[in-house]
Amino acid sequence: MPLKLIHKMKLVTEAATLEVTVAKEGGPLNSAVEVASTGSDDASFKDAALTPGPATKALDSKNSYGLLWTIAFARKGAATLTAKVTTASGQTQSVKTRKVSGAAGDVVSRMIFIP
Amino acid sequence: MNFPRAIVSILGFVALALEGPLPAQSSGDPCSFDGGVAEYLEALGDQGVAGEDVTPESLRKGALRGFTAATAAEVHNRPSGDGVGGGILDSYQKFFLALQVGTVSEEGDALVFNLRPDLLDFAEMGEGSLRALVRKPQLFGPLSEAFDALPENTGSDRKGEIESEFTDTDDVEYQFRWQFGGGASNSISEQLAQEIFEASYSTDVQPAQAEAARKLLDVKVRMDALLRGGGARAVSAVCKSSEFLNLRDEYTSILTEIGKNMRALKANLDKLGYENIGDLIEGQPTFALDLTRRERAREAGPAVTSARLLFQMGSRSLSSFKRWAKRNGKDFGAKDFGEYLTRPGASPDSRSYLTLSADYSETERFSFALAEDGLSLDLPKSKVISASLAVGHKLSKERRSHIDLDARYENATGDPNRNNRFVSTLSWTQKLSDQLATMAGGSNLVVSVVYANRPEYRGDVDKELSLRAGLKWSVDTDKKSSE
Repeated sequence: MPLKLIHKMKLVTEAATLEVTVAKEGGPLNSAVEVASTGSDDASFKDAALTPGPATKALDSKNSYGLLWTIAFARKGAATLTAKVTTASGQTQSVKTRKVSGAAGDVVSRMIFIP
Repeated sequence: MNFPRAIVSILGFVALALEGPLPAQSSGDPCSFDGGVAEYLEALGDQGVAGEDVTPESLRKGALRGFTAATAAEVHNRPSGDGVGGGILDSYQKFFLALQVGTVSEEGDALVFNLRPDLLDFAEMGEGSLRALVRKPQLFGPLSEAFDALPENTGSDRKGEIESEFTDTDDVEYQFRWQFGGGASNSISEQLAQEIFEASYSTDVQPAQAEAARKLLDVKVRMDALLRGGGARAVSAVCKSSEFLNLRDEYTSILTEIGKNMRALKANLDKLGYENIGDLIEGQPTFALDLTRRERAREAGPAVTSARLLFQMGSRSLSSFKRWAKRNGKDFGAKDFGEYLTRPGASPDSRSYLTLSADYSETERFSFALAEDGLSLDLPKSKVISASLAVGHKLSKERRSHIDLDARYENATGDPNRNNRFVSTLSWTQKLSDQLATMAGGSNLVVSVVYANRPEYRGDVDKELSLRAGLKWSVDTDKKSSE
C-alpha cells in the first residue's frame, strides 16, 4: 500500500457542504480562512469558528473553490487544517489535510483548492 | 532494554505496509511535474514567495511551504538510530505517523518519541507529557577506559566486538513530566491571543487575503481550462506553452501580494503585543515534577532513575496581568494588554524570574568482568541529592544588562567531588556594543562573585577574595538564561 502524500479533492457533483476544522498543538496560535469561489458565494471563517469547528459552508456544484489559510503563532506550536466535503446524505466525499508548525512570531499562509 | 517482541513485530508490519515510492514533488521545472494543476500550484507555493516585498519571517520559514513537499522531505530525511534506513526505529516512527499517537523529532544525537499532549491532560489537575529518547548506544565510559588499559589491540578488539552487538534500542530514556499551574492559564491566554488576532486580521488584512484567494483561484481555473483545451491531464503536457508560463508568473506575483499581507498582519500583531503572550505563559507560577528512567544494555551503562521537583515564576505572567487589570480598573484582555506591557517588570526589557528545584537520582550498581583478559569493573550503587535556587533581573530597558544569582547544594554518595557541596554565584552580565564586541572577541562581559563552602569546590578565579570566595570576569558569547 503506497503512502499517499497528496490528497486530491474529488469533484463536487451534487449538493455538498464544506466543513473546515483547525486543530492546534502548543501555541497559542490563531488562524483564519478565506474561501474564494468562482461564483458569488465567497466566505470567511474566523478563528473561533474553526477551532474546535467545524466551520461550514454549502457548496455549489457549478463552482470551484479555493481556501487561503492564514496562521499566526504567539508561541511555538502546530496547526492542522482539515477541509472535508460531505454530501447531503452526510457521506464524506473527500478530505484534505494540511499541517504547519511555527515558532513565536511566525505568520504563514497555505492554499487549498476544491476540487 | 528492549520493547516487547510482539509490539516490535506489529510495528514492523505497519512500517512494511506503509513502504512505497514517494511522489515527485519538484515544481521548479513544470515539465518534470506529472501531477495536476492544483498540486502544481500548491507545490509552487511550497518554494516560498520571491521578491523584496516578502517578510523576512515568511522567507526564513518558507511561509507558503505546503504539506506535500514538507511531508515528503520529512519522511525522506527522518533519521534512524543507526543512521541506516529501514531499521526498527524507522518502524517505530512510521507507527507514530500512521496511528497519530505522537510525533518524532531529533534532539542532539537522540531520536525523540513524544506522546500526544492531549492524551495526558488532567484538566484542573495539570497536564502531563511522556516521551522516550532513543540514543545511539555507546560503551559505558568507565568500561571503555578499562578496555583502553588492556595491552596491545586486545582492548580495542573487545570494544569493537561489544559495540557491534548493540541494537538501536539499547539506550532508551523515558521522561514523564507533570506540570501544574502554567497549563491552567491556557484558556485565558487563548482568549487573549484570539482577541488580538481578530483585531489584527479583521482590519486591512482580511479583505486583502480574500482578494488574493480569489485571484489564486482565478489563475487555477484558467490553468485548468488550458489543460482541458489540450486534452491533457498533467501539467507536464502544457508546461512549455507561453500561456501556461504567463499564468505561472501571475500566480507567483499573487504569492508576493500574500507576503505583503502577512507582513501587514505581523505588524498589527506586534503593535498589540501578540508575541508577548508566550512569555506571559512561561512566566506563570508553575510546579513541575519530572521523573526519568534511563535503561541501557549492560555494557552501555547502568540504569539511572531520577526525579526533579521544580517551581518557577516570572514577573511577566498572566496572573500578574490579571492583578494589574483588577487593581487599576483595566480590561483583562486585548484592549489594555499593550499598556500592561509598558509597566516595570512586565516589559520585555525589564523582567525578573525565580526558579527553585530539588533533584534526586539513583544509579544502579555496575559490574562487568572478562576473566580471560583480566578485566574487572565494579561500581557501587550511588545516590545524588541536590537543590538549587536561581534568581535573575534585567537591569536596563534595552536588554543589555542583567544580574543573576545561582546557588546549588548537592551531596553524592561515593563521589568526593560532590560530597556536601555548596556553590553560589552572583553574576552581572553586560551586553557589549558591536564595536566593543569585535575588539573583545565576545558579545557579553560577565563579572561573577563565587562562594563555596569548601575551598576545593570554589574552582579557579581571577581574583581570590578568600579560600572560599573569588571574583571572575570574562567575555563570552554564551546566551544567558534570562536573555
